[in-house]
Amino acid sequence: MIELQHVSKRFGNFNAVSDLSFSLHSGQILSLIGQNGAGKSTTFHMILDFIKPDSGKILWSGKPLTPDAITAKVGYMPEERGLYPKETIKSQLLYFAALHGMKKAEAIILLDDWMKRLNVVGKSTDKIESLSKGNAQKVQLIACLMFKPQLLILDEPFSGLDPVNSELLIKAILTAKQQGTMVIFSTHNMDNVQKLSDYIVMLKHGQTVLKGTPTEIYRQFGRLRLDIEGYQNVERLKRIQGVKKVTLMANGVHLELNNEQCGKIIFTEVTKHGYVPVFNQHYPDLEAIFKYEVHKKAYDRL
Amino acid sequence: MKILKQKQVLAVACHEIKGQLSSFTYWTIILWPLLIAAIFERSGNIHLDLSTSNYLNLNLFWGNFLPIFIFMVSLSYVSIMANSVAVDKTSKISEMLLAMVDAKEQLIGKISATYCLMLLHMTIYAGLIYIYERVTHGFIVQTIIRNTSPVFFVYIVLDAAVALFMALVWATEIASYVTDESQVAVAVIPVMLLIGTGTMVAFLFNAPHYFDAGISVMRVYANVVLAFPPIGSLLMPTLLANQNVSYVEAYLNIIIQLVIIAWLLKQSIRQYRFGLLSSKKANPFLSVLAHENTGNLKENKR
Repeated sequence: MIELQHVSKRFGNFNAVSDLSFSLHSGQILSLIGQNGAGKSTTFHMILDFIKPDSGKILWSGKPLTPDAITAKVGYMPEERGLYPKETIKSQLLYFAALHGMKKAEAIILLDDWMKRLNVVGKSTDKIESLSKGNAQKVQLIACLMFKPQLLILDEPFSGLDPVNSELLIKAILTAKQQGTMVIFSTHNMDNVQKLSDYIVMLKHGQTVLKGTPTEIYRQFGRLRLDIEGYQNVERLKRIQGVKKVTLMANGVHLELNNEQCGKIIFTEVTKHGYVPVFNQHYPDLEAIFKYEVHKKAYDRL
Repeated sequence: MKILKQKQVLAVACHEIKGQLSSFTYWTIILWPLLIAAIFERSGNIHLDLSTSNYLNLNLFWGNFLPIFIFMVSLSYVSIMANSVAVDKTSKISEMLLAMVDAKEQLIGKISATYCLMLLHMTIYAGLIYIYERVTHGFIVQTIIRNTSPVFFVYIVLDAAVALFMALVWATEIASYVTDESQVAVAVIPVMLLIGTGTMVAFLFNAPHYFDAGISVMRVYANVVLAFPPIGSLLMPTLLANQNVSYVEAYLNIIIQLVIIAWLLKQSIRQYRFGLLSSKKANPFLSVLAHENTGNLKENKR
């Protein structure tokens, strides 16, 4: 288990991370979200002991996380992608495996296996400089995964990946999770956060603005979105108290509500006139929540 | 964990050696002195008939040879080292590497690799000299070695190793701030300026007419100054060859230098780690040069 207890870091007058706390157990995935400069990479750097926190503790199974433990247990893929361009995939990955103390024969087997699993196009004897950005990124991911880390830190792992490769990456992350690896990743893609996360932490200017499981976070906002199919009387809906906004869609309407309770009134109203095939009152999606938290002062409550 | 660290040092060293052995630069370093030697040999300019050598001649030989040797070896291997660090930085791999292996192991691995490469370099030269002397029935090197005191010989080997170590540590520290491969020269220049100055002063010390009396008067002062690496390593062999200092002073000087280097190395590892992570930070030495240039441009505009 990794645990961050009231961790803070300042760079001069700039508050990079302030009083950040979370814990993650074996086989759990945590998404660290926030705008650029919110403090995500700084958090990763503190976990990796690249920089020391000004205050707070970073614990591994209740004990302070030591540099030796990081080297042995943590796999890290930084936001800044980089590999030796003149080297082959094989020599590069064997070097990384050697740095983790792995035997060459064992590493070769794993290398081939991971290359197949992540569908890396080309041979292991191809030079890195000949690979596409997506494939180079996959090679980097293999470097992080092949030594079976207990904690995997991925900084913006989906940036630059097409949807097919993103799916492969998601599968790889889920496989690691099944094997008991803890995963912390940052991303701006809220769909992937929704698909993967057991726990979400959102940072804004270093402050934690959202924290919890996806369900806990959704519940904070309530079921304030409503999709109705087979009903298009916008004017009638607008007159109902608690309806904030009505948008006419191709085969129905989408509503934004001020409170959950008015859903019942709307249901009574729309079913009064006949059959409604879809009536779905749901939570706002993470993207809407993210945008709301970023622009909190400029927008009304969701 | 200790075993893992040793494996990491070995992995870094092997990676460096493998990379250098397949590089054009390393073989150029070995070949070009041989080419120059061959030109001298063909034009018959080598007249080192030491069949009548006496102790003073031999001392003058070492007094001249050693500073040049240290200068040339430092220039070659400091460039290799700086280039290696620059490749890590410009390939944007340093952050990922730091998560796998600590800066200390990286630095020690790279330095160990450089010594291995230098050892191979010297072995190749020794082999070639041996073959040359067998073919030409010459005995120049044999005579020099036979007539050199073993204690002195051990000292100069140790001394050259210490001087190179210091040069490598400093070059690595400066090179860790390189953000572009074109800046490698900037990492090499400060170190080579120091080594070059030491070499020039060593030449002056090897002219007994001017400095024999002076060094006797300043003996205590000189010993203090010479303790600072790599000044001591550059000047001591010359002073020892000319019998201006005793063996006790010379060996004591090496011990003091090693103690200072151990302390400097500790600081260097910290700086190296910081430099590797500060990709957005400009090379401080380059910044100074850039500032100078901007200053000049402003002056010109006026």
